[in-house]
Amino acid sequence: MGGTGWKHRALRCVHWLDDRTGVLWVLRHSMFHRVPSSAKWWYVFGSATMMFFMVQVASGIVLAMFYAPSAAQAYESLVYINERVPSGWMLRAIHGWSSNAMCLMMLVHLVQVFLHGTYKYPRELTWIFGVCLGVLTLGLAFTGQIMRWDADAYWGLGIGAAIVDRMPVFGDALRGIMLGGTQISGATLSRFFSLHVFILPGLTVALLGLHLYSILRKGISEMPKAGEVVDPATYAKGYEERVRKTGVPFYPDAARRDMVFCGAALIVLVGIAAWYGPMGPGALPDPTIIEASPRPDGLFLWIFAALALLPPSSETFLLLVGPPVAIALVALLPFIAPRGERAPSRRPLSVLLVCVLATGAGVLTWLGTLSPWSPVMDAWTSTPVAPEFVANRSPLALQGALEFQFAQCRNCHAIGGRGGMRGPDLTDVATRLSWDQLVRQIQQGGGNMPAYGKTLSSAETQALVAFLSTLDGNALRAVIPGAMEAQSSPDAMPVAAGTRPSSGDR
Amino acid sequence: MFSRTLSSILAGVVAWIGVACDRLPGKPAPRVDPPSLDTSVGFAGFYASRCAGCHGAGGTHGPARPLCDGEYLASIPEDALFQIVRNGIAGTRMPGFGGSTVTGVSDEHIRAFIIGMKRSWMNPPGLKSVVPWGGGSSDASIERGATLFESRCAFCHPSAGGQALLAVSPQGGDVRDPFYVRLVSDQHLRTSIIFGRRDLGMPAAIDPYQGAGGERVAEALTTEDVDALVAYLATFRQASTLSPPGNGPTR
Repeated sequence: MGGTGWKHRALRCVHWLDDRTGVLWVLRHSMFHRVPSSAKWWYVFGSATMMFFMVQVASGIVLAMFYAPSAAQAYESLVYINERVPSGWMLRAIHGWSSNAMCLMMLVHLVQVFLHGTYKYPRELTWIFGVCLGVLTLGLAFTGQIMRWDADAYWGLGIGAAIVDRMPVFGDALRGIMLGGTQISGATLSRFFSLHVFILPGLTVALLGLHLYSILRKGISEMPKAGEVVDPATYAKGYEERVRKTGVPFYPDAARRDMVFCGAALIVLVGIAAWYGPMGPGALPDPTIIEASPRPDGLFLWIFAALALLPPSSETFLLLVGPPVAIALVALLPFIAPRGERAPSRRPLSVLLVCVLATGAGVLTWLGTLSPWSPVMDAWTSTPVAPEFVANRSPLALQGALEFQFAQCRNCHAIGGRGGMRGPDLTDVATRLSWDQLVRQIQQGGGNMPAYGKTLSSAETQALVAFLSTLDGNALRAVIPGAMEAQSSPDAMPVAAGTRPSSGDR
Repeated sequence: MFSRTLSSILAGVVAWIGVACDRLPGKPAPRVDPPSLDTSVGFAGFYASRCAGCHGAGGTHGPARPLCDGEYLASIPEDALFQIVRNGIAGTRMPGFGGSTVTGVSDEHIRAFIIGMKRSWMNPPGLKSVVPWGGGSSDASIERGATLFESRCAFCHPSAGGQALLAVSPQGGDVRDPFYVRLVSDQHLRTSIIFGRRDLGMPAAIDPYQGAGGERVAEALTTEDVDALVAYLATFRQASTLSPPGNGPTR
């Protein structure tokens, strides 16, 4: 009797709530609306993206309770979360890795929607909201990286500020707004904190609502079939009819796949977080450490590489005009191609475009990891001249090896595969350049190399060339057991190494 | 049935994570202060980042003086070593690592670094060279140096533009090369003669050497010998760098 009384009272409460808000209708409609029966495993990526966003929100709320957004304490508070808060490191790991996972899922979702032509009539707004969500997600990832407030964050901000600064007319003002002053300071962190914790997540939630609403309003698309053309005149009617006849309720039919995929993705996320741990914080930010090699997180590596490889004259234009134009083009895609075939097999240009972009981004990411254009700033003190380049050298050549280190040649030029990759590897430079050519190259520079004629004395240049002229690649000789002994006898070493030609011809 | 199995598996996983959270591989190691430079670990890290480029990994086989040399470390006065690390050696390629430079290291760090170096590489302790590390006499005889050089050094260090080196093995190259002598200090010459470059095959002052005919001779150099040799070699700073015509090696 008591049980029935409770049930009755609860039902009355629900009815009261439904009467005032209409919540039951919303729930019923969103849970049990009919979706095309052909919508199967290809349709789970959007849900997974949203799931990762929810993980971010939940873990982010807890992290914000411990994080101190002040320049003096941010770093310490992260170390505190890592070491003192029970499972705090796990929380940071989940927050960081789910950010990567969210970006990845978003990308897969975007490519799937693009390849299946889902953006076409009548889902233009769904697509546009989605593109805006994509930009917000990247913004969340970038501002999140700043929250670490370590050397990477510091240099990342520096590069961001330099980009903003290039904007004509408003450059100065925008940089001031971004940094909260003329330089990176506590005000900068406060600004990025409010962006990361209030503004961007708020906008994301709002846009997500609009994205989901437009999905409910116009329905999810069917699996594309070759020959089934989207024609705005007939599409809406045909779609509604097909869904009414052959569609299935979203819950449980379609939602089941979403839940299975999201559950699996969540388990993988926790596994990765447990295995690889939290990201950073790395080294403390210190503007006086010039050896720092700023490098963004994996997701932004391709942009980093593209910026480094752009011809300097086009840099400002492409930096300021490129991204807005690219985003606008993507957002306006439904109006550029609103009708026609949806099946990838009938849209070879789209498939080709995805392949080219994916290859480009992959190669740029790989180059971003290597960043061969950056000198290795500490190679001159920390990368030893290997013993094989020291043995059998004349005293002058040994002094030349010292010059090679001291003049920081090593930061750009590798020998024996170790050192910078900005200039050519010099392990066998003596086979390519004669004594005189080496002198000329060092004194006059050229081919992206600065001239050292004014910084090196004649004795120093002679020593350097004496050393370089011993680098004939012998150390690189292939070693095939039992086959090369004859050639690898000591005679093969550069005898009288580092001795220079007659001064008469200099 | 299925859901019950699934729930128990999930509960097991959650319980395992709860219990094992502290032992998961992703857990960051607690932050520890970097080891002091006067320990061998702290010294090795500092050496690898700032010295190994020229002095070689592990303190030998680099183009600059090997520091993993107990005799050298025992012989060089503490204050001289401190001044060299702190301020560098003017006119040579040894930079100073202390003082007011941007990446400057405090004096305490340098002293600790020297202690760490001696702990790591001065073994056994107290083995000093017979000839003192520093000093040098202004009235050393250049002629005596020239004679000594011919009898004790020239077999491995012949002169004349390198042509005479071609058939010699092992050989140490021309130390009378004016360019070489201009790039190094007298102390560098002195240190090289007293302590040799044993890692590259050059004997120290007390080691057996190869005489004028390549024969093995066991006769240590005295302080006067070293002074004379340095005085002799230093004269080549003023020598012409133009070789006689036709004297260069064919390349």
